[in-house]
Amino acid sequence: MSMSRYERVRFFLRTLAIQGSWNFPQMQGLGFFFAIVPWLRKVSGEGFQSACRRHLAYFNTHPFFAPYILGAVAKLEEEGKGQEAAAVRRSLMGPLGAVGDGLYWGKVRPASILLAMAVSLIWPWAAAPVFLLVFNLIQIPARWRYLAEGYRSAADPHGGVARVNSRTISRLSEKLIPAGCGFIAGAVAFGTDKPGISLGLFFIAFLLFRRRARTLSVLVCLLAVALCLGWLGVRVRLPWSW
Amino acid sequence: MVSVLWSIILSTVLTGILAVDRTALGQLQISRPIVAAPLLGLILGCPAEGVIAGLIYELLFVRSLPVGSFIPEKPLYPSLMAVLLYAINRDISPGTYVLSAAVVVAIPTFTVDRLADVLWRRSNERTFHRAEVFVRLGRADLARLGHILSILRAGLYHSAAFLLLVAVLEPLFRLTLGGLVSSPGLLTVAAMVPFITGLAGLAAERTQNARWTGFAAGLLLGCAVGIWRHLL
Repeated sequence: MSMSRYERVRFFLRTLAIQGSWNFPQMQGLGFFFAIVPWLRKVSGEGFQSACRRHLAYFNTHPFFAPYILGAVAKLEEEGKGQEAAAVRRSLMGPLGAVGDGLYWGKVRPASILLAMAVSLIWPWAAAPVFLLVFNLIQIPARWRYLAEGYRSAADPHGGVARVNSRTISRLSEKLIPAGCGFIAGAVAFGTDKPGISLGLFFIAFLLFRRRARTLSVLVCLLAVALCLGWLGVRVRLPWSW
Repeated sequence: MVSVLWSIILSTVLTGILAVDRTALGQLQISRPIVAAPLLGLILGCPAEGVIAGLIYELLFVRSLPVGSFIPEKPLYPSLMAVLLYAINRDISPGTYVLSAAVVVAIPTFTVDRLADVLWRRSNERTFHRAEVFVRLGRADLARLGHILSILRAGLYHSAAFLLLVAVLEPLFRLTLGGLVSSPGLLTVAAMVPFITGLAGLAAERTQNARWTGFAAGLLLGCAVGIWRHLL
């Protein structure tokens, strides 16, 4: 018995709702159960009840990497290795959560946003489609691939993690973000009617942040400067316009 | 009056739909300000201002990341609220000033967004406990139904919270708009606060491990593009 393409599509769709009942004590526990229970019904037979109890428990990982764990657990349950499946779920969720947060929230999303911002300087209306296209063209196929990879790597799920950790995307985003920040800072500053003041304020804030100043302190400083500039008759206008 | 009411109803419904995408279903990022604000702007007949508000808030909240169980600042309410406040009050004062005032006033609404999110997550604790009971009784189907209802509840919680916020903030905004528009630092604050707190923060964070060359090259190129656009 193996997972048919139709079953895999349905499984994948259910993984999209893994955070649907996120709560503080059990986090994605019910979401994990929601995604896997139709498969358990098919493969567990007599042991369905105990399999359900096994997988309705604490679970928390990055939502995009959850399909990898679900794939591995599905395969192990299919092979009748229920206890091993529960152990794999427990041991993989932490590391994959950390990898996912760093990769998708920390790198891919800011990089996609900066790319969309850069496009917005020429075509402002294109920012939203570019962001959605870039981010989702990376994450949706990746989530689909993680499910298949997890199912395939069930015998050695920890070894399979190396294959799903997208180093190329990670390195590319790492390089793109500082360059993108610089580009947007320069272009947006010249988009306002007072580029010197804009860039000057940007660098003051940049240096304050480098010295580990808190966002609120920078914000208060900026408000004071903006009001002083306003009283002196200097007004910086919005950088985007038609 | 009817159009004001329709604007509020449409933005409330949109808040619920987008809030579901943010955590409960999909995470396709349609709830990010860069998408949400232009979308509401398009619905309310001010797409250009929607795009501007979206870009400003995206810069402001670009650094807020959900790590583990930490719930970061949520930029959905501010971006939608700014567009809604602008759409309702755009005829009162010059457009740029109303938009700037709306952007500044809507910033603190991220706290209500986070609060509604926390309340929804707390309400899911009961759903989980009920699911445990259902599974013990051999009714896994009811446990799954509870999960689906939680997804729907996310939309309802956020729609209700947004509507309450509009009921409080809109009259206040209308009352104070005259003063806000004439305040000397308004345009500068709206233009510079997100630019600096978001982008400078991100740049400082990501150049910690000496990625200066990329940052400097990007800055030079950005300045060149900016000058070129200025000359055009």
